[in-house]
Amino acid sequence: MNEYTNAIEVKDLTKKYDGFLLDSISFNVPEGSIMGFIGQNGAGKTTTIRLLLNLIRKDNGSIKMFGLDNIENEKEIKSQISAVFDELPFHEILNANQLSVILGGIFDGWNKNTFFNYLDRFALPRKKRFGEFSKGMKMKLQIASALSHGARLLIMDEATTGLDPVVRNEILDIFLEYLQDENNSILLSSHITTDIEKIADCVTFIEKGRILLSGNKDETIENHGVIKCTKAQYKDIDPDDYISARISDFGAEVMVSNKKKIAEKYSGLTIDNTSLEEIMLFYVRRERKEWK
Amino acid sequence: MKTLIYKDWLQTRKLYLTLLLFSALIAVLFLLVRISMNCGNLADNEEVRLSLERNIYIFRYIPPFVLMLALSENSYIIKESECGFLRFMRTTSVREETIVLEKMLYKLIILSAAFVISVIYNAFLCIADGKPLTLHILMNIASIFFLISGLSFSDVVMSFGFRKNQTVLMIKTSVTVVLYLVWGIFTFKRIDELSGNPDFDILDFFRSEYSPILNNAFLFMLLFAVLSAAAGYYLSVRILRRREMP
Repeated sequence: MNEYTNAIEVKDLTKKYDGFLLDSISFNVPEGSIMGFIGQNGAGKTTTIRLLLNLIRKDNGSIKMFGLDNIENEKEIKSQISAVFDELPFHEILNANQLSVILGGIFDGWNKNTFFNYLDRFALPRKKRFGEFSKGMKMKLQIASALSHGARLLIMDEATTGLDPVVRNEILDIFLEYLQDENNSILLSSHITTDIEKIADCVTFIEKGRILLSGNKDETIENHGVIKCTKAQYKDIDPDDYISARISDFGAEVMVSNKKKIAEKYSGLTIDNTSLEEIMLFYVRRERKEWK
Repeated sequence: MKTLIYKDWLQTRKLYLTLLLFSALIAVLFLLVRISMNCGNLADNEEVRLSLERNIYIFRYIPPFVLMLALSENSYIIKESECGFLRFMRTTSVREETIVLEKMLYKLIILSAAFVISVIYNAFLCIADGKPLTLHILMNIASIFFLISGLSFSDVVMSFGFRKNQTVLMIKTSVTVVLYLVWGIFTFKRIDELSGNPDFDILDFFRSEYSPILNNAFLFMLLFAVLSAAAGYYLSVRILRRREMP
């Protein structure tokens, strides 16, 4: 029985760059779940992932993976994880057969049959050079290699960005299959919220280096809602009760974070269900409060 | 580590096969020139014959070129850093020491292969000339081998961390150029001096009474290679551990 319940535990993580601050962020990725890590470009998703992988040095805070410190137990942790980036890290002159031999020497748990099964499933050629692969093929190859050495945690940085919807769906289905094993977990960073909405169990929303939301995805979507009302009705809503409001010639759309409470307080107003994309949109503009 | 060496070989094999073919081509060219000197009108013309005799020894400079060509694969390591493979390796449980050691080992294997090619090539030249392959010739080639090995190990450091540091890169390039120039100028100067001697035999060039520096160079270059390897290993591991992967 494992002593930990979170595959990843991030606490007060801080990293300062010239012009950017990852400001004391904290979040957890429960074991056996898929965490969607969403935010705009430049919000701090990639910085966070690089800190998790110890590719860059943290200024403060702690990171635990499988209950172990990510620096003190770096090699032990890294033997159990797979990282997928938006660019293929393998040389373009190589082919899949050669890659299998190379990765077989790098990963102790490398399973060439699993790898070739994924290649067949993705219809990826074994002898074609990676330089001749399309972007979708390269991403499938990365995912096939990430899933072929028994990793218990997949860390994906914008893995589905730039792919067409068919390929994206195919990859998302593979992730769901991977999660059938309850010891496996995924951290999936993306700014494509529809992907996260489709497969994630939890969601963490980062904006300008700060975590705005982190928790169960369904609860997050369930708790939020959009009030569609007239401008006159909008003026009666207390600004403390909403995140931000989109004003148009026809009225106002107001994002609230506690649907039930707001429904009781403003009983005459209708609150519609919302999506992660809308939540992200309204949160990003929360400082202006009112926008068009 | 074996599979990483395999990967490096896959990346650079074309370069080395070219290198091998290049050496073979030059050897054939030498043979053709040698044959042509001994036949027909050319053999009767003493002036032309002497001129060719003198200039044919330019072929002896091929081994250093072969060894230097073996250094060209450095660009592949830099490419490795650029394409993200180094970053990928940092996401695995492979130790930094292994990554650096593999690179150095691969360089050593390739340089050793180039050394063997150089020795075979020189032996071929000696046989064609009907002269023995002396210890001095071998020591000379070995000196160049150690010099290039030393420079090659320092290249590993460059590829892991200092690639974008223009000052360090400039210093390193300057040192390389100066070392090559010193070796080249000294060698050509000695050949010019010795060529004026009617009893001159090109192989005398490698004898200690004519070129004591070259003999001392063997030990100097050996020391340089060992120190470069040790410093290169230590610095590369340190850089790789501390370097932030963008």
